[in-house]
Amino acid sequence: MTETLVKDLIREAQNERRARRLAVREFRPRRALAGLTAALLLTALGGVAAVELLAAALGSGVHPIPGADRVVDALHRLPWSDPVITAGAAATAALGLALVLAGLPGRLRAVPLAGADARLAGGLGRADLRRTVADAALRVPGIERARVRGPGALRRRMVVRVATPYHNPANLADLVADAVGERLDAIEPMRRPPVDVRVGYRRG
Amino acid sequence: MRIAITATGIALAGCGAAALALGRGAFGLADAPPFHPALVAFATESLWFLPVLTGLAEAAALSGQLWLIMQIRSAVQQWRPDLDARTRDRAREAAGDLDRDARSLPGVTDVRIRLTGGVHRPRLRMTVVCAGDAVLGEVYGELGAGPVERYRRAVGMPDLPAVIRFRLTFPRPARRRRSLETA
Repeated sequence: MTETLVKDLIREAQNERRARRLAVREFRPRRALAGLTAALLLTALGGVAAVELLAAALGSGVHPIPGADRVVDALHRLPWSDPVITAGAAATAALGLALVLAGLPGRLRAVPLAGADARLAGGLGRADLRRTVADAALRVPGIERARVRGPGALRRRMVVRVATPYHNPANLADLVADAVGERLDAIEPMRRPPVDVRVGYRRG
Repeated sequence: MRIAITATGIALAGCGAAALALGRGAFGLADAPPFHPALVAFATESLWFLPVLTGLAEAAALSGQLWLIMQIRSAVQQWRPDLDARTRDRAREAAGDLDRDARSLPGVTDVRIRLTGGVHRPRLRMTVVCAGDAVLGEVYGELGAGPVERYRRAVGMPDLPAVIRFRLTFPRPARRRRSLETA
C-alpha cells in the first residue's frame, strides 16, 4: 500500500517535470527571423567563397561571381586600418553580436499552467494574465483604477497598483490581495508569482 | 536552432573583432592589406591550401542550405502536417468533436485547432478563447482529461503532445455618455 503510494507520488512528480519541460520547449521564442538570417548568410557567404576559391584553385583568372573582382582587388590594395575595411569589420562584429544575443533563451511567450500530464502544455499570454489580475482587482468595491506589472528579468514579484477615491484605504490592500490570489488560484500557473499590492488614495 | 544561431553569431563576431583588432595595429599589421603578399605567396605555393579552403566554404554553404530547408519545412508543417492522408482525414473529423466538446466547457467562447508537425514530431495546437473571469485551471484540466484524450484516440496517436494556448476576452468598458442639456 505504502509502496504504491510512493510510486504514484514519484510518477506524478516525474510527469509534472516532463509537463514543465514540454511547456518550456513549446513556449520558448522561436527566433525564426534570426535563424533565417543566419542560414541565408551562411549559404550565401559559403557559396560565394566556395565558387571564387574553386576558380582560384583551378588557376582561372576569371571571377564567376559578378562584382567579386572589385572586392578581391580592394582586399589586395586597402590596409586593415582603412575606414572601408574597419566599417565592414564593425558591421560583421555587430551582426555576429546580434545573432549571439538572439541565441539566448529569452522569456517564455506564455505563462505555463500547472499540470501533471507529460503530453500536455498549456499557457496564458503575459498580457492576458496582467489584464485578468487587473480585472480581479477592479472588482473589489472602492477600487477605481488598477495597473499590473508582471514579473520580469530583474523583478520576481507581480506588482498590482490600485487607486481608490477614499481618504482612508483601511484594509483595501488585503482585499485586493485576496481577490488577486483567488484569480491566480483559478488560473493555476505553474509558478505562482508573489504579489505586491500598492494602494494609492486621497491624502489630506 | 538556438545553438546554430549562437555558433554563427560567435563566428561572425570573432571574425569582425579580429579584423577590427588588426586594423587597430594588432600584430603590427595595420598597414598591411588583408590579402598580404606573403599570404598570397603561401596560397600559390601550397597546393593543398586553396582546395581545403574551398572544401570548408562548400561545407558551410551546404550546412546553411540544409538549415534553411529544415526551417522552411518546419514552417510549412505548421500549416500542413506531414502525415498520411488517412490520418489527416481522421484528424479533421476528430477536430470537429474536439471543437464541440471544448466549446461546451464553462467560460470557453472560441476554439481553434490545428494538427502540425510530421510523423516524428506531431503536435496538436489549440487556441482556446475564454471569458476574462473563466476558471482556467478547471478548463485546462477538463480539456486534457476528456476532449484532448478522445482526440488522441480518434487520430490513433496516444502519445500526441498537445499545446493549448489560452486567450482571454474582457467586455469593453461602457462609454460614459454625456447627458444632453436641454434648454
